[in-house]
Amino acid sequence: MIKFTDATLSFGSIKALDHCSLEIKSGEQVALIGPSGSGKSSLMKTITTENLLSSGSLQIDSLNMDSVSSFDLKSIRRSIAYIPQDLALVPNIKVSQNVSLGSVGHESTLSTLRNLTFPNKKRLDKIHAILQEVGITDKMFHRTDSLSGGQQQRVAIARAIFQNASYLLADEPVSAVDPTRAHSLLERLTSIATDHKLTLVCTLHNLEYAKKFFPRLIGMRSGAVSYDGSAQDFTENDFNELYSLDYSKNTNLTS
Amino acid sequence: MTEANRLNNPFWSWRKFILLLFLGLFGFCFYHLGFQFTNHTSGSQPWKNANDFFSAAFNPSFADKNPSLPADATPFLNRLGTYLFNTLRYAFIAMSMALPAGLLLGLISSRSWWRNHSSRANLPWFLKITFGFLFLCTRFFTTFIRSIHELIWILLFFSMIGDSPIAACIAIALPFAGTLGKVFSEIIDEQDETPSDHLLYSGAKSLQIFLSTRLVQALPDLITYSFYRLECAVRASAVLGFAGIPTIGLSIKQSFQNLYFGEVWTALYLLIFTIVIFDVIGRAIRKRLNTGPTDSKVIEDNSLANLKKNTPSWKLLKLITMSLGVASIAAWFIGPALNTYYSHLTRWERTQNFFRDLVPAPVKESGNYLDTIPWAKNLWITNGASALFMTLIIATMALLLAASFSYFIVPWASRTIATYHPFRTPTPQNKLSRVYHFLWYTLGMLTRFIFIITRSIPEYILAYILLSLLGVGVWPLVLALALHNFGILGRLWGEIIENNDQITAKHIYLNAGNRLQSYSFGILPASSNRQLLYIFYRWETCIRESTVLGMLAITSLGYYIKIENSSMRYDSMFFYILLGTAVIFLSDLLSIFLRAKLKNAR
Repeated sequence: MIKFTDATLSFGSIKALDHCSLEIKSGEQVALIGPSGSGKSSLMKTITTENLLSSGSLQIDSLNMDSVSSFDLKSIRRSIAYIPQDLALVPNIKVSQNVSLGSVGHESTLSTLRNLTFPNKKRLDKIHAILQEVGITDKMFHRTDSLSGGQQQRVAIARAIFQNASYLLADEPVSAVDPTRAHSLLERLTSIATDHKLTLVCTLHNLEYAKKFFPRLIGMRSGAVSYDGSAQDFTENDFNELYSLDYSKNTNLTS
Repeated sequence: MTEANRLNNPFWSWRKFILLLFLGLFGFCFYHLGFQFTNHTSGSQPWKNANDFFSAAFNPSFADKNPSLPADATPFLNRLGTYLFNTLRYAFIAMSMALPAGLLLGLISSRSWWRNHSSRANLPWFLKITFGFLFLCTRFFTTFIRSIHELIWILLFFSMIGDSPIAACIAIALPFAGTLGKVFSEIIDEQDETPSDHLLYSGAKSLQIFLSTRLVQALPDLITYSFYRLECAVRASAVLGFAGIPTIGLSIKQSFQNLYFGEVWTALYLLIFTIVIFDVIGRAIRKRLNTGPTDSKVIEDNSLANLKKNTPSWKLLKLITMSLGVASIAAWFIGPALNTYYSHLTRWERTQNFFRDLVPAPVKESGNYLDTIPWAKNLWITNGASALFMTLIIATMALLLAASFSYFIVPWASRTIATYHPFRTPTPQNKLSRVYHFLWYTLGMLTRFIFIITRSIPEYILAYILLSLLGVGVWPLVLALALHNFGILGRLWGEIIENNDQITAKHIYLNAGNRLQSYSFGILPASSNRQLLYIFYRWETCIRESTVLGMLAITSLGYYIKIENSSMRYDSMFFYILLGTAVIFLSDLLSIFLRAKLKNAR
């Protein structure tokens, strides 16, 4: 369970999250929508523990992130698999090695080195199966930067699955692929989340996909939740309210 | 000037300031160096010598020119072959010591190694202080061993443990380990942080993150740079000949002294050829490591075993790596003994004597360490200050000359500009296109050839030759240093141009701009800061070089270091060495400051 209560995240005078409250239950599949700069990525990065709230609280699995011990912080981090927008893949190693890095939080330094250089058969079989799941098996032993943007995105998804986490967060996972591929990728992502019983939180710019693949939508605007409800109930009015350009709030544009 | 003022003032920019600084320094250095480019003694035949020397370039010798050699003497070519073998052997031995040491130093002197990940933020204060102290110590040690030139390390080691090839190899290995350590740490710190951050937030430990992302990301650059240092080690090993070690430098020195210029050219050609081979292999390795092995083969059977069997790999890289590894091990065992020693003293006695003699003479007499101050002051006033000044002037002038010439020539050596298809734009084929293609290709090859030749010949050998031709003076040293650095800057800048994003330049060219416009407005604005960074990086190297070039009889620091060494006044020799080291430390700090400024400069 992920629960934000009156959460504010400030970077100097800019408020990335502004008194934001929401709850995502275990096993739920949620799409985060909203205009650029509305705080979607900041919310994601707060869940991944990359950002620390300025005020309010974040609770993950009954642990309060303000007062969590180092030991629990590690275990929370292990339980969250994140697919960032820039993918954060090591470009000059093989696809199998990048996927293997998913489980790094569960291992000792020595086993990481061994798994990177001489992976055993069992591990390779597991990676092979996951790559099959995301449909990119043929590139398993290719260098990651020789792959196209869409293929790399799938490697990042495979790495997240390999992490064996209970939360899967994806920041704009289909931004680099064509509509057909985006469709099948989201289908895959949601079915993987269902199969592995993961909580899936996904930021999306494309509203059509959000409504089609996710039962629940959370609309963000100016760092706060402006819509939280089922995809079917999302009306044109909600859309206009969420995406309307309000220049009065943006000092940079009016000055 | 405050930040706000600077941003509002369109006439102020770091680049303009640097340009003014360049011009000012040019004038200053010229004023101090004077305009006497040659210094021939009366009765000498300078132009005849120069003519003989350069005409011998077309007539290299393949047999001994010395008529008085005994019949059973080793023939010239065999001797040269042995010298070349020794040159390579000592270079490999030195690198096999420098590389592990440099890697260790590079790892622990990189900022990311000590970086305060949030997992480390909770460390107790005494551990934080210890880590900070260890970081500074490693950086200090790395800079110290790097700041002393290999030829000066040779003097120190020869005086300390006696003349032997292994002492010479260690003398090369030490500053090389320092340089490798410094560059390795910079390469590691420059890597993209996103993969390591990602691992941190998925619960990995600092060491795990460092080893599995940063180090792995840096690996191609680390390998490429190590290979470049091997090329430098070959040059350094060639120069060892001037210290009496039987490498190719000894052959050049002996033949030159006997005025057998044909032999000099044969040795020079051999050295250039060897360096060019290293350069070509290095370029191929870099190209492959940057892109990785490519394989567009479509695999039908996606089973694990079949995929493994079809893993794309570059066999030549494996072969080169293995050959280099084997060569580094074999170099230790194949060939004459490395650890030779001829002296009436034991090594231990010799070392003890050396360290005893490092204590300043007045202190040795009185036992009072305060006597060091007047002694050092006296050395500083009599020779130290002026020698240091001369060292700096020679280095600065050489670099200014090298940079100015290289700056205008380098675009015409670039594979993306000096070609019939600049910036990879398609060009229609017509009757004249073959001619144009040939002309551009020739121009590119010629400029690259000039760069590679000038940087293949070590500056010490260039200086030695120029001093003999132009007479003893400062300018031959300046020119030698400038020529060598011209070649090096040409290579470094050429790489910057080729690695720079070509999109803007291509856009300008496709909008009917010419090559110069496309380069000046499409590539230069984005790359000029990096070009300047290399100048500062070379400046520090030039100071080290100009120190040792003084050993060839010009009153820079090297001159006094050599004089004091031959008079066995190790205390004053060490004073001059430390003076040079101090300047390198200062220039290092200045270079760090300017680099940081330039990174964000407009």
